Amino acid sequence: MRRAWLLALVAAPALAAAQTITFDNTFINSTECAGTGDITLNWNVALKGITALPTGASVQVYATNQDPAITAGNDCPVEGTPSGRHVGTVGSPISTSTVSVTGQVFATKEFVTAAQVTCSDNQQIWVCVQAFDAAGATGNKVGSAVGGPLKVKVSKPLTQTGVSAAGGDRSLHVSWTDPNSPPTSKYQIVAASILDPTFVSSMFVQDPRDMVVHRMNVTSTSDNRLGDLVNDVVYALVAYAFDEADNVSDPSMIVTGTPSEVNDFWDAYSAAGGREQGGCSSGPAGALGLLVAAASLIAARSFGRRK
Amino acid sequence: MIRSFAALAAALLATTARAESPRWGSFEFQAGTYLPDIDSEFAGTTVRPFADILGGSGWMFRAGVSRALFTSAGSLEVGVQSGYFQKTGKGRFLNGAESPDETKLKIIPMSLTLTYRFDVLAERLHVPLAPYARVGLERFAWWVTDGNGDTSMKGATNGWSAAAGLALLLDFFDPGLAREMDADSGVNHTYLFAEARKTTIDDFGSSSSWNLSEKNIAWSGGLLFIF
Repeated sequence: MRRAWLLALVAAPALAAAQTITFDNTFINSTECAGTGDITLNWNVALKGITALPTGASVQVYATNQDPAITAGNDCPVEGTPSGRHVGTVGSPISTSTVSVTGQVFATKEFVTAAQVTCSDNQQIWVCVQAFDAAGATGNKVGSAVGGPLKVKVSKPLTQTGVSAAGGDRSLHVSWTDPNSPPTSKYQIVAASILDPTFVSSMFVQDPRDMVVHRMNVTSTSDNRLGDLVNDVVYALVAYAFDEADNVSDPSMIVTGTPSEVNDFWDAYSAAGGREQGGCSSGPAGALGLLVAAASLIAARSFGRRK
Repeated sequence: MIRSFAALAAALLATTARAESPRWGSFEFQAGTYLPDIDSEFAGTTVRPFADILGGSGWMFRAGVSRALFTSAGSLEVGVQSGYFQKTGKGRFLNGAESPDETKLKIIPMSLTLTYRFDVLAERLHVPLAPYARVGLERFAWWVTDGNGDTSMKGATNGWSAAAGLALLLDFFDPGLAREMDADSGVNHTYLFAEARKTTIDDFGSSSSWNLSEKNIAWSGGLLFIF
């Protein structure tokens, strides 16, 4: 009896792991909900009553707005009940005792349509995978798995405020305030050179010294160093925020900044008339350096031999 | 009271009476303050590039290994040390205003050292203290970086150092653990030490080198393992 319990305990995680669906992204954003984008599914479905799927068997994918955990039988819904709708078919599943499939790509919009949800926040979609021993969904259901929910989030993050751009050497140090609660934690800075700092945003002309549009993805709101810029060129920049579903905020207010030459410590020391010239010492001092280096090597070898 | 003294005496005897594994030398690591005296060459002026940009002292970390030359009347060891020091500040625009860009002075000190540790007190007279003195030849490899992370200049400056310190034998507090450590890893003794070091790092007075000597006395502390 005790052995049976032990076996059950050992087997339980394996059984649980045998029926899973995972997604490359559990959020559906506004772009995806409107019809662009894909969702990649991976699943494991344990077969019941048979050891392998016969030739011609199929795996059907469904989406529903009902949590299968609270539906009758705690199982995936069948077509139309409740609100379950067909998303797609995998015609040639791998014929093993566990139908294991990775990288199945479906259009995100298909899930939204099948689950009959609207493109508004807090809508949820569960995905069901069902294996049948015949083509289509005409045979006996010999295995299933459920995953989700996929969460619909289409609202944009709030626009970033208080953007500032302090000039550094070939760089701008950009900071701002994130009004989102909680903060979104994914941002992008976009900067382009302009000729006239009093520009009208839609009419400015890029400075020919730097025609590159600079983008940098960051995770902090403070002191983000945007490098590879050109000194004395005026740059206009904005910050965007991205939420967990990759919805993008409206651009922040445009601010300008100008990289300028900066003296580092060595520059300041040299400019002050410092006598150090850099490089390794020569003459007696250099010989001493060699002596120290040689002694280090000897000590290291000696220590190595001891070990 | 008498019982306490007896226990203390037993602990002291246990510290010294045990059979030790053979000794080879020592290993140590230490952390201490360091303030290079770079600004000294601008004495008599108001220019202070190090103080203005990099500020005050920073932490220097070192580790070293030494070979025991003799251990019969104290320990005489020759060894090498190396470590790391970094000080960060803000660069300056051409008009002198502080920029948001960082600039760093980084130093890797390398030392060839000769150390005498008077550990007779700890090993024979049951006093868990070992004063020591150390002299060393020093080579400081250094480089300066700008706000882009690029190296503006690099080089190496040589010199010498002298240090004195006091080491506290930790075996005294737990002789049993010390014996176990010796049996398991070959570490005969473990010391906690404090050290005062004076360094002169200016390429022995070269007129074309800056002065990386410690401005005052560098204080450090660490752990020393005799093995």
